[in-house]
Amino acid sequence: MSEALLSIRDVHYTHRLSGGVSVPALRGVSLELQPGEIVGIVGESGCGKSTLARAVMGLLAPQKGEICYNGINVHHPQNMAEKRCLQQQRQMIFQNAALSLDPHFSVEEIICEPLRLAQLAPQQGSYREEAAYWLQQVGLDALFLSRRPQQLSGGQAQRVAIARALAARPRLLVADEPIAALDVSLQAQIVNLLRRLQREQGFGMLFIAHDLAMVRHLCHRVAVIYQGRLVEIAPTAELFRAPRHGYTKALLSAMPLPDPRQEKQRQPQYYEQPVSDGGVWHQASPQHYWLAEDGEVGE
Amino acid sequence: MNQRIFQLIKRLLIVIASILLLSVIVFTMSRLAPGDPLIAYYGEQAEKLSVEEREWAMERLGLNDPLPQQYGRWLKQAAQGELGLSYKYKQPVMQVISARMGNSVLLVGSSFVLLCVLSLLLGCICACYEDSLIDKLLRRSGIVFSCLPEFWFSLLLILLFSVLLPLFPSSGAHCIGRADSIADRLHHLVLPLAAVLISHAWYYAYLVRNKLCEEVRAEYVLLAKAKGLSRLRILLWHCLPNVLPGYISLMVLALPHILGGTYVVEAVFSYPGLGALIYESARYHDYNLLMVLSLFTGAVVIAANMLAQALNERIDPRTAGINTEVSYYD
Amino acid sequence: MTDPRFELVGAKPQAEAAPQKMRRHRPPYSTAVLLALIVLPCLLAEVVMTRDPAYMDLAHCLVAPCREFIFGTDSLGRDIFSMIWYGGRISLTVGFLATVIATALAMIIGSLSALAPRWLDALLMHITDILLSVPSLLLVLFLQAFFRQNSVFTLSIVLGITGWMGMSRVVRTEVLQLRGCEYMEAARLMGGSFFYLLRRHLAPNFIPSLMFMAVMQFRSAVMAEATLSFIGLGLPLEVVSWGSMLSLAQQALLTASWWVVVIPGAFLLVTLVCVTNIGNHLRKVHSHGERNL
Repeated sequence: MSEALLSIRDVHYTHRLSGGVSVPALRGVSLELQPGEIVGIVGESGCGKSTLARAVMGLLAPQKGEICYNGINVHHPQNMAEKRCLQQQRQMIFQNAALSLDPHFSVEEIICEPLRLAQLAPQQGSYREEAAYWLQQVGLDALFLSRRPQQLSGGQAQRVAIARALAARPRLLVADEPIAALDVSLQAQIVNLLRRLQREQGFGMLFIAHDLAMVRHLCHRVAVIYQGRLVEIAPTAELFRAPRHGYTKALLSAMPLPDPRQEKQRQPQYYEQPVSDGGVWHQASPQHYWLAEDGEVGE
Repeated sequence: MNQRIFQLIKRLLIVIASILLLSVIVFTMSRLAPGDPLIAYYGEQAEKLSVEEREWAMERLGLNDPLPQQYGRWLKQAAQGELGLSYKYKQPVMQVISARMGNSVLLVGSSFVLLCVLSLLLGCICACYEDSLIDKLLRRSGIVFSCLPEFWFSLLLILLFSVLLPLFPSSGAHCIGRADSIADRLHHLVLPLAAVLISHAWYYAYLVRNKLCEEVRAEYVLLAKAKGLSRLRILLWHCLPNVLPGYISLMVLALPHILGGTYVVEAVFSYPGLGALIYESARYHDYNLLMVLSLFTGAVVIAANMLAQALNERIDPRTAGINTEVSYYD
Repeated sequence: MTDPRFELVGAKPQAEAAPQKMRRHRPPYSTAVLLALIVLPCLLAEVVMTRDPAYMDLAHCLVAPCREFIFGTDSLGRDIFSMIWYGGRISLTVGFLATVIATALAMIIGSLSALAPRWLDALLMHITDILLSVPSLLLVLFLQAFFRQNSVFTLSIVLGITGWMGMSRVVRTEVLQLRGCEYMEAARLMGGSFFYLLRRHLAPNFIPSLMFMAVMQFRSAVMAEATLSFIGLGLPLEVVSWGSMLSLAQQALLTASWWVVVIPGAFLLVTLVCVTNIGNHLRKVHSHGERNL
């Protein structure tokens, strides 16, 4: 197997709030992402998905465990070259696109910002042409180049944010709930766009979402996080066909079905057991792992 | 109760820490400033010293030690009341200062108290008769007087009331040989006091007026009016207490400005106070004196800040623990 | 995908919406004109001056305003009319340079404090508070001690170094609000350094609210220059400025030559009042208009 693009090893992170309150967000998450692979991370709100994304981007330093991109520890790059490499090859898309674009920048400036910062020469000749190229890639007209973020709609802003992230030609894209703030028709557009771009550009992607349908459509593998722990990881088709962990089952059962007759009979399950720090990993099939509680009988 | 004491101790510690930090800043600055430090100790003789003698003197006075060590020694001496010699006056600094302290306390104290009273009074009058002639006059003149450099205004006063109309003396705190005469002192105080008051009072009155005018818009005023209270009573009994905490913070914030202004006025009127002394010591590079004076002024302001906060909490318990911030240019 | 019907919704921008009319305060035209009447001749001093402002015509000392000397002469026989414009330029230059330095310092220290870890923030703000509690003229005097001979530049630097405190608090509050914005994080991830963030992302956002403070800083710098020069700790007598002209005023009082006292001071006062008016206008525009100007 080739070396992983991103490897997350036993990461623990606890939010320390003022007043001495501490909230554990990640409790030993391990994960590997191969080049060109899309891994979806699903789980309920507050389970630590966004914390994981921020830790991968180096915005948070985990108290325990390490995160390596291409063999570079993202929290302690050894030298300037490694730091540069991280800054350029690893990009992020935020949940609220409108907030992630500086209201004083034009779209052209926004898209070219990573290029200028990484001192990369534009591949299309000039910065303006480069920005126009990426706008076209995300399905927007070059007329947008001189617009400001306030003049964009939510979907347009998210497209611009994607264009900015891709302009530096990253090898790893971290998308922290990029579709959560959009309405349903736009969600599909953005997911299709990401899928097309990923096929063309071949970058690896960590796709964080709570919408299972979109994850199913886009991702190669899916990881389920529950209360800060990874509870199940499997190729998408396998996970949706044969979920093992109780939480995954509950999550899938909450998914509405397209057929109204089936939908009527759908019985949502609930899973509210706390997950302990122990547990044993079981292998259901070559790439399908799930976490069983000590008492639980696997298989 | 326990918490009260804890708060008090905490506040005192902050005051002490602030003054210590101020002394570090001032000490470092005075030691980094160019000039021969030996002169500060030996006066002009220092220039006649041979190289060996200089070396020996530097060693003895500890001027070759690293700065933190020097600061520690200075602090120890300061705690015992030894603040060094004034180069210009060839006297211990404390002696020079204490001789002039009284004059300054008289001028600064009386101008500050009068300023508080006057600005509050004018502010209330203007808020009561909003948009009347006096109010408009105050608003206009507030801007103009806030732009008036104190020294120039003092000069104008001297020109008008000492030179063209010889009514008041133009300098000093008292006539020679009449230091005990209260009337004579007051006579000398009139012009400096007028200079400080007029160049500041309008502006603060303007700020008080703005605060009161905002307060008058509140709903409870309408209720009070419905009860049939008179305008003046509403303003004084209901609105004024509400703006008082802000006013106290404002006056404390204004204290450095008023102090600075008074110092300038002292210098113009050659009034024998601390202000005139400060400018003199700066002109003659008398660091020891300048350092102590700056420290003293800063300490007064820091202490006043804390006092104001404590006072505010008495008046308005909501502000407890919160730093009531008032923009100076409000 | 060439069929226009399949084009994505929102792929082409809609027609630009007509800019909304905002209710604006009436700019203070009369103040601006008055200020221009003072500032322009100062900038073009060489054209306006009737005499060499440095030339000491000892035959005409303390001449009252007359046809030959419009504003009279001072005790050194210099023509006050020419000195007003020439000295005004220097006074305004000092004010301008000091404001630029103070604003730059305030921006750096304020945003550093807002972005730094909590202990550094607390320390910086405590130092700022302490410096605010010392009358600024005292700080100036201390720094003055570093320079034996004052020039326009040294004085500007000193006034700049002592004038940043109030502004840096404003900057800090603004940056604290901007800090959480995701575009700041995005830029940091892309490798933007502190100064890059400050220059490209922070400054454009807080400059509108800083304008008023900067104008007020200009005002106090011009006033401080005059005060210091008057006392003899600012610009020396031979460097003509409004302040150094007034340093002869105390002597002039003895001979009751009012023009030496009144004229430079009046120019100073009118300029400062105009600047204040414009500052107040800026503040009103800022507080009523849209924040993202």
